[in-house]
Amino acid sequence: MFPPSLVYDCRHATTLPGTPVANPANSADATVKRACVEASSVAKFYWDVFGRDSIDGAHMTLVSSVHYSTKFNNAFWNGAQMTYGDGDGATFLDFTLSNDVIGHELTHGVTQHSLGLAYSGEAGGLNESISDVFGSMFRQWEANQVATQADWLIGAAIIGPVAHQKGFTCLRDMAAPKAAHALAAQPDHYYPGIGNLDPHYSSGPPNLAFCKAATAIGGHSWDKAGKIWYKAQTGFGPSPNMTMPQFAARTRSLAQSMFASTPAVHAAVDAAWTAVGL
Amino acid sequence: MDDVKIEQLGGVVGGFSPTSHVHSEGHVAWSALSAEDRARLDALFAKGAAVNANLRYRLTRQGPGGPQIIEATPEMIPDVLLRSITTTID
Repeated sequence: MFPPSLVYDCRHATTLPGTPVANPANSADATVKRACVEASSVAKFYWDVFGRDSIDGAHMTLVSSVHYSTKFNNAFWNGAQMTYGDGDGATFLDFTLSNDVIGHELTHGVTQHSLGLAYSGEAGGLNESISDVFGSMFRQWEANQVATQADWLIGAAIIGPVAHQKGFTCLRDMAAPKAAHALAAQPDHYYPGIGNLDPHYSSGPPNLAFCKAATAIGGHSWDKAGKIWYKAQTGFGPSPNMTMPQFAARTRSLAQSMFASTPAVHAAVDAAWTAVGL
Repeated sequence: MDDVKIEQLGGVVGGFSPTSHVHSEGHVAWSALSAEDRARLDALFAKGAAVNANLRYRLTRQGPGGPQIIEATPEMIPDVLLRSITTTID
């Protein structure tokens, strides 16, 4: 029913995808097993919650490569697959340790096959935000948390001992983008020109807007706010250069049409965007 | 030619934003590169095309008219340059 989840071992080389791993779901290599099982779990999340069949909506095979390069401090989507580094053991640990990171990377694939957002400008910030939003939502879904229980941190489980010693506990904090405990703090308010900066920086305001909307609506983030964001992402065809005001307007409109009998949902979405300057 | 600087952008980490505390970058002396890698980099710098990718690298070298800066995806970059990258926290 769910798409196949394949894992390849780069064996510390940088050529993708690497060597195929047989039966990765039962591998003795915990990294291989996590990459396989968690990618499958993200696919299940997209199917159970949004009715989406894999990354492309058409049962696309999930491909993950692990042990990429040596002490590689990142994870990425390359247009066809997910790739995870082992971390250097100081700043970062194995990038498969954070299930929200796996949700984040797979969601870049979903975005590629729906809105088709670019990786620069305001669209780039939206692209990164949508990956953070669905990565965090997936983490909450696996833990069966309501929005008020969630910590809204991105990458909390990959922070290494040296970063921890310096007081950093996550890559980003969706609920408090400017927080000092975030390795890459972000602005919490939109301003014209924000799109000229790194998308991982400009994603702060839309991240906070989703967090505020989901928290104000209450319950599970994926039940209402998540369904609005998903429809905004997948329901209108490609829009590679979409701006943040355009995305905000779309979610406001969807909140009204999808939850017409519950005006509090639109009020929460409207207030959330207004709070971040959009 | 002095050296080539490489900076990692994107992925889940990012690391190139104004308030980021984490930076991943490296340097390789031009003289330490193989003839094949130099030719590959010369071609990359000459092309200088924009890259629309989740993970990409910014490469900088001094040219006759000042610094030359391009972006490239990992498969476009010589492995020796990728492996020179280390991560620091400020």
